[in-house]
Amino acid sequence: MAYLDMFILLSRYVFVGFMIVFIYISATFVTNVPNKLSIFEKHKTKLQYTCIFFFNLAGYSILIARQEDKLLKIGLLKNGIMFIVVVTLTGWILRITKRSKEIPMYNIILFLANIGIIMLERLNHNEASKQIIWCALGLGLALFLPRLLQVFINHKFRTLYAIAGWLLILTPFLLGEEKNGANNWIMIGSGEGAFGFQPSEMVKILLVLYLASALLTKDGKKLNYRKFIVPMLTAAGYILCLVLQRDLGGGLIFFLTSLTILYVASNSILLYLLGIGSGTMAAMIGYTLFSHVRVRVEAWRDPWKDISGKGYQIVQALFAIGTWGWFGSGLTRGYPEKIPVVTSDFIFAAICEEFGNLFGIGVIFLYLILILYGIRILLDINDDFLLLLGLGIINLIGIQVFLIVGGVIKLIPLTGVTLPFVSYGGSSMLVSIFMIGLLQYVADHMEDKSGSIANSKMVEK
Amino acid sequence: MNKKMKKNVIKIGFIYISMFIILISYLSYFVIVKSEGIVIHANNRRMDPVENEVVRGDILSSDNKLIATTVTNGGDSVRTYPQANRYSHAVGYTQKGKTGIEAFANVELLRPDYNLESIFKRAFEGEKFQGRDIVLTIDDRLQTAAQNSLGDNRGAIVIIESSTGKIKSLVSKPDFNPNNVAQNWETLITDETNTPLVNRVSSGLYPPGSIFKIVTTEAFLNDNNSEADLSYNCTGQITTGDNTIRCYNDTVHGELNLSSAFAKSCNTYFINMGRDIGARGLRKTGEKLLFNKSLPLAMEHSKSQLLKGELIPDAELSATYIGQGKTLITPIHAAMITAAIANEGVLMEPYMIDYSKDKKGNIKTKNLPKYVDEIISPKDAKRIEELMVKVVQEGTGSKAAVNNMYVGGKTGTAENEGAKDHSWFVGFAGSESPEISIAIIIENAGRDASASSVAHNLIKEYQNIR
Repeated sequence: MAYLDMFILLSRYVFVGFMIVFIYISATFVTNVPNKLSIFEKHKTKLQYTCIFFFNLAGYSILIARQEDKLLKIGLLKNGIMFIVVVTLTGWILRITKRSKEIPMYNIILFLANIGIIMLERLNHNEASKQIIWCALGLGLALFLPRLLQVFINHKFRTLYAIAGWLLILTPFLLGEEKNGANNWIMIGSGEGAFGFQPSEMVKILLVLYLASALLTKDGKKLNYRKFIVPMLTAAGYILCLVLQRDLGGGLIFFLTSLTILYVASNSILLYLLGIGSGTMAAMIGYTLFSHVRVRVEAWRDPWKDISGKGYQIVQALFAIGTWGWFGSGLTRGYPEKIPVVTSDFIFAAICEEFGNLFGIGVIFLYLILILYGIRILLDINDDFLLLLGLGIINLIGIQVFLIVGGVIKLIPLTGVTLPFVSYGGSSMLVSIFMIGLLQYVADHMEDKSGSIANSKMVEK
Repeated sequence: MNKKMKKNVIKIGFIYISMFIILISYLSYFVIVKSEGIVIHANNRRMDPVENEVVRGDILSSDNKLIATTVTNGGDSVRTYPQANRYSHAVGYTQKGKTGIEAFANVELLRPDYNLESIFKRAFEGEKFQGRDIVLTIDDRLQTAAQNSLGDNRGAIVIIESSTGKIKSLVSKPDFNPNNVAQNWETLITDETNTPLVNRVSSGLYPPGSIFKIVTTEAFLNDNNSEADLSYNCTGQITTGDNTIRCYNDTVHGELNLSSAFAKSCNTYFINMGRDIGARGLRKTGEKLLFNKSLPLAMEHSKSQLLKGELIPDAELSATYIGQGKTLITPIHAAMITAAIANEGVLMEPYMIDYSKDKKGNIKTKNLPKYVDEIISPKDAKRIEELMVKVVQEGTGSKAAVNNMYVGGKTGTAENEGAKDHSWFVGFAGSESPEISIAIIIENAGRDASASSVAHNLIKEYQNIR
């Protein structure tokens, strides 16, 4: 056993090493600094792939070596191979369909997914197996669906988006089940085969599609007030539904995303401040009205006061993050299972515990790179609708990451949302990956004017 | 429109960069600063299993005497304390939970310094990793002297290096043998007269008696100026309302100034002085000297108490000026006030861990002296220092004097209803100027100045080793 302990202790540095190399390569796609080593330039996506491959190999090797049950060993091996097949297939499909430029971003989210899956394997093998399937399904949707349904990605469908959004967001009131204190789940099927899904995850996409189309103006014109009242009221309605379903994090993500799209569409800082003001007021009203909001804030302000009660979850997360220092305890050597709902909301604490805080910082960096990469793509888009759509997607992901990471490390009050691509959860995984597919679709159709009112490209050039 | 949008998109990019930098900075801050408290938190059981693969480090005194070590016998490892009872309260125990340094430095003691040699030994010979050793600021020779001079009395002794806050000795009696804590557990926790598990240095609250006249004097000097004096004719008794307080042994001290009154510890003089100060003035000075507050001190401790509550009856207030009343103080707090006086008014945080080192002797983490605050003005501190020197030269503390040493102090007798009085001595000593500060309390010692004699022994020992 001592051998293995030694290997695991050393592996901590190897994991951080993979992370640093991966971040370095991925960052070059954003900064776009021409690299003098042209050989390196050619093989950047292959280097990314190599990082994922060996990260996966190292992670699964440790888990398989630690596992004493023969059957589970085989299960682990299967999953490890399956994931790497998924990654390889994704690259291969993109290459043969001549969409190689999409590979870097898919590699970034696959590396994040890989970190999540290895952590899940260590915590709960069944969840990891499901997660890999969700991941594969998500990739399938992301790669093909936007192109198959491209007629529907058009600003003319704004009313359809809004209505579909309303229908979906209202379903939990009729069919909702409670899970982890939120009422935003609906269950499909029953017994063993049942699976839950969160309609709010899908509404995310409809929300940005709707706002991007409804806030569109004719070329050069300023957005007039009549035009944004209805979209903002619709967004406010969605948010209210989420708050009533006790999905505070979801509400906050919707709110900030809507506001950002409004800001960019209207170019009005006044509107933005007005939005922030009304949001703050609504939050204060929510604080006095809903006890579960107060509990969250209380647990954030002083979790130590009620260590075994309200503060338990966050204190366990802080123990996980704070005990082992920069390099962590080593995979399987920590105690992340002591944190409640560790596989979904608190997976970041588990990563910090076992892979180390340096690695955790790397994960945050990776998200930042993903966001900046997305923003760089937006800067090449001349179609306003697609630009706003892409912006919405980036914000949905960026805000969600900030909320959950900030909540887990107790920088801000905890709002129970998942860490995109990493946390366990079918709807979250599917929708997050699908959003990346949509973003890539946007990038690919930046010259497409079929859905554009603002035919401004020629003028600007 | 599109161009403006893109400008705004870039702005949003910068917002995300700053948001994520905040996340990263906060996480780093948490790891660097906050995690220290997290690791030693009592509810955090994450480090417990580490003991299976790391040999707990040794604890040593500043003069390299082995205080605690782990003896490995085949597969079993046993924590042993070669000095038995001597460090029971300073270092604590590891059976039935952990206390003292064993708890406070738990992580450091279990922190292995990986190197190729240790990793290979672990891998091929199954040897455990070695945790770090802790070196204390306590000097074993002073600790031994303190242990011996308390003898079988209940009481406490603490010696602090005034200019750094290094604790040179910490003894609380009755004590226990940390080697047999589990064995004697029932007796240890049920003995309510002797309470051997209580660290009297930091948790024992005692009436201060006449050592409190230091605080009264500082309140007076603070109200007036460092050179202020007061003349008074002691008739052996003073009456406030219908309460009369007499001087010790009914002595009549006659015509007095501050210096002679302080040296002779005249009660009536200080009650008269108190009439100038008042409850508010005394409380203000007292709180500046950390009464009613948590001390800047890593070890668990009680809060000293002074004039709690709004309405203080006159009789109680009079008694308070001479340290009777309801005032309570811990020995470590008394030592800290004395150390500040001896250090030109500047209080340094007392600490017991000097540094940690790996098995090769490389220093890993070193504690540096921590400045707390100037709790007394330098001039007031100098004046009180002179008053305290006089006490040892020609006053009540003359037994503490040691040839060729600069010694100052203040004695105290804390009246103890229904039992013999407690004997106090607080003071400082050095070759030419104050170097160490001492607080000694001996419970139920009676009216002979025994704490002063103990001080004499300790200062003598310090003279020998310095």
